Amino acid sequence: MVPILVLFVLAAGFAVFSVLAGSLTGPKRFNRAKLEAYECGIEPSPQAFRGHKLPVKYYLTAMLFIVFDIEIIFLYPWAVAFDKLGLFGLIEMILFVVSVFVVYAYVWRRGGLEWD
Amino acid sequence: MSLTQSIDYAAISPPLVVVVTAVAVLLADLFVSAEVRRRLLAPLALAGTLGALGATAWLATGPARSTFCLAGGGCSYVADGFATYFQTIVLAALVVVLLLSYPLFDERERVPPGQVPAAEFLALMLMSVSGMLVVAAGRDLLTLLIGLEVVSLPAFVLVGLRRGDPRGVEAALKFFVFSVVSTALTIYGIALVYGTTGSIELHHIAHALSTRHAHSGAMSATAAAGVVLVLVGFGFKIAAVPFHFWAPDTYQGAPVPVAAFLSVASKAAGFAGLIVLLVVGFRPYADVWGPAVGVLAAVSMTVGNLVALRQRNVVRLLAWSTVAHAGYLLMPLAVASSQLREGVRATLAYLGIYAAMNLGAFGCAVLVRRLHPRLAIEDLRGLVTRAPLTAVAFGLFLTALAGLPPGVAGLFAKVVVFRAAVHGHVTWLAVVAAVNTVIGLAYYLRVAALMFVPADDAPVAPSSRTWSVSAGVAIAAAVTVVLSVYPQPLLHLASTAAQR
Amino acid sequence: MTLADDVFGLLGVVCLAAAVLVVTSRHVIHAALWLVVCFGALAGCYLVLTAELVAWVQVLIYIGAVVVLMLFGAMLTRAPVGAVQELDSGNRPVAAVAGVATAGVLGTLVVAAFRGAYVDIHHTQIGDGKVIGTSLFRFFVLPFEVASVLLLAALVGAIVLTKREV
Repeated sequence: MVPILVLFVLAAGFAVFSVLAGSLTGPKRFNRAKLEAYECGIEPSPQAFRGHKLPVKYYLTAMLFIVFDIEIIFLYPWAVAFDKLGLFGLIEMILFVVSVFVVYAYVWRRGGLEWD
Repeated sequence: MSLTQSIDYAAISPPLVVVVTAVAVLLADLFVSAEVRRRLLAPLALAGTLGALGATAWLATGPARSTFCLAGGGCSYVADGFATYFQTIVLAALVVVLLLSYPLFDERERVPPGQVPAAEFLALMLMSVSGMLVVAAGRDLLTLLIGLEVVSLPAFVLVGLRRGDPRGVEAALKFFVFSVVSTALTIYGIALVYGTTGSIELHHIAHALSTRHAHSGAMSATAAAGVVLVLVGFGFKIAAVPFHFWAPDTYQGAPVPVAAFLSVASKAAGFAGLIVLLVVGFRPYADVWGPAVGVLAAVSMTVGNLVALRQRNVVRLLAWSTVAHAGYLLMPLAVASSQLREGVRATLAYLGIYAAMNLGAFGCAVLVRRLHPRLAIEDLRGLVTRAPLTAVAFGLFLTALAGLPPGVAGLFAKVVVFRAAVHGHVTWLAVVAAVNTVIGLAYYLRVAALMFVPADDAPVAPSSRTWSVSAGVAIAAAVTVVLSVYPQPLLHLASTAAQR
Repeated sequence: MTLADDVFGLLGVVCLAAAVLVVTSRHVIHAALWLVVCFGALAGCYLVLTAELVAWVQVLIYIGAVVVLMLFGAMLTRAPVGAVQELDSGNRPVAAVAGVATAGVLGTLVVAAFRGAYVDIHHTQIGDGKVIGTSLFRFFVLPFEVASVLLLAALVGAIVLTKREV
């Protein structure tokens, strides 16, 4: 417990120190680019956002990610207890993975993996 | 102690067959040509449902089977008389709903708002039904909860499946938000019950709750709060007041066959879970939930009937009528603990009859919709001259819902629940129900009478594409008529199912 | 009071404060970021109670998937970066009363009921992956398999509602 706590304190201290040191010692020169959402990289696309609504395809991505994320999280406890579970655990996990694989086949054929 | 559970695949065959059919429908849609698809999908879904119905009938004749048993005693899934009774109702309802929904994905269909994707519709409906079958046989809190989620999640999508239909989107959204909130409360309740009893298995919970109940105090109060919160989720599912707000808008915005599905199959699953929880798990707290259920019943039937009086749309009228019927169905569960078995029997019998007459009424709404897309009650005036058979069938179902001849089945159902309430010493509730039955007569008969006002329209030849809808309505009508003449087998089945 | 008690209490305060900020913030992005703090503190609480796997589920699913995708969606599009008045509705006082009342009743009940309940975190292994793995396959096989149907339904629903040309 104590080492973890010390680590927390060190990490927090380093973060605070870095931010403070940067803002105290660094030069401050403003220009327009710095006021953009990102100083480099892709500009936010204006047409994607209408009337405070996110395009629905983001939610599709989110659902895809969450479903497969949940599948993976179930694999972890199964894997670490695998030696105790044996064949029964294997069969049940295969059944589970197969039904999620049906999802994959469905999404793929329906074009859910394409970003228009 | 065994490290793994044994599985009796025969016991879980009904939900298994339904899930496999759902997956088969999805995959067939992905990998088969469009022409084959159009002919194949709906019959495939129907065949799977009939297969599951056969498996259920076979299970019902044999002894009770338990599977997924816990190492410490108790089983997650029990296929006994109670489970098979509900599974039969749900699967039979699915057969009728599939017949009713066939025109929805007919490509030649021109009646707005048009067709829905067949494979997804069928697969989602089958998945929802698999959840219902699991709820009917589930005997621990976790199985019941996940089963209930599997019932609800596809249902949201089914409600909002029609593209470009703002009413459908609104309906789905309301349904979703209410469902999520009530599920959250249920999960919190499960956490409290688990925390105070140390188990999720219903028999263990009953045992632990009876010791908790003996010592009043904070622990007992927390357990009671958990019990009440768990009931909220089921109150939502059965659309009892005050958890009914979603029902009218959702039924009206959804495709009519989906509304039929929600009002019968989904409600039956909600009652299956509710009864098993109350009677098996929360029995020691009958003094807490008994009065609560009584109040829910009284409020549901009163609000449902009074609001139904003012409706101008056929589906909304039927929606409020299902709210009122949730009240009648809850009434026998409010009886004193010693009479609970008779109460459960009454609810089961009522549910069987309700399923037939309510599906029939929604089926008639599907038929009427082809003549009058708005489905205003005023449109029904003189229906008997335009569509005589539809009018006669609709009249039968409405009088049955009201509890009047010629729909005698509904009368039997009312008598059964009234008798249970009076025997169970909740006479006040029986009085409320009697007043409500009179209110109910007013709107059911108003609609029924309107159809038989003579009008000088010519009869409309039924479209060739409605044969499946007509078949669905005919099945519901046949069951209603048989139950009107000879209800004994159903009553017998209900009492066997209640013996547990 | 042990060190674990202190850390647990501290994380609980952080979690609660962050949760209040989520619902009171007028910036969508700020609300999402406070949600990350709230979930993270909750994961810390689980970790203190030795419920390792639950903590990782909290981090991977809730922070990793749910919140990050909200942020991802908000940042790639031109989301309202400043304060948005529409995030408040006229129901604010009613919602506050209902929320505080519910939390008060349930909180009081739970505190009164489980005041003396302690978990010996040094000698139990209730929440690590191995224990959960074995109990999943000993007690909860049916809910586990039914959950796969739930995942299937969730994605079929997502596709059918979002894709135009099914």
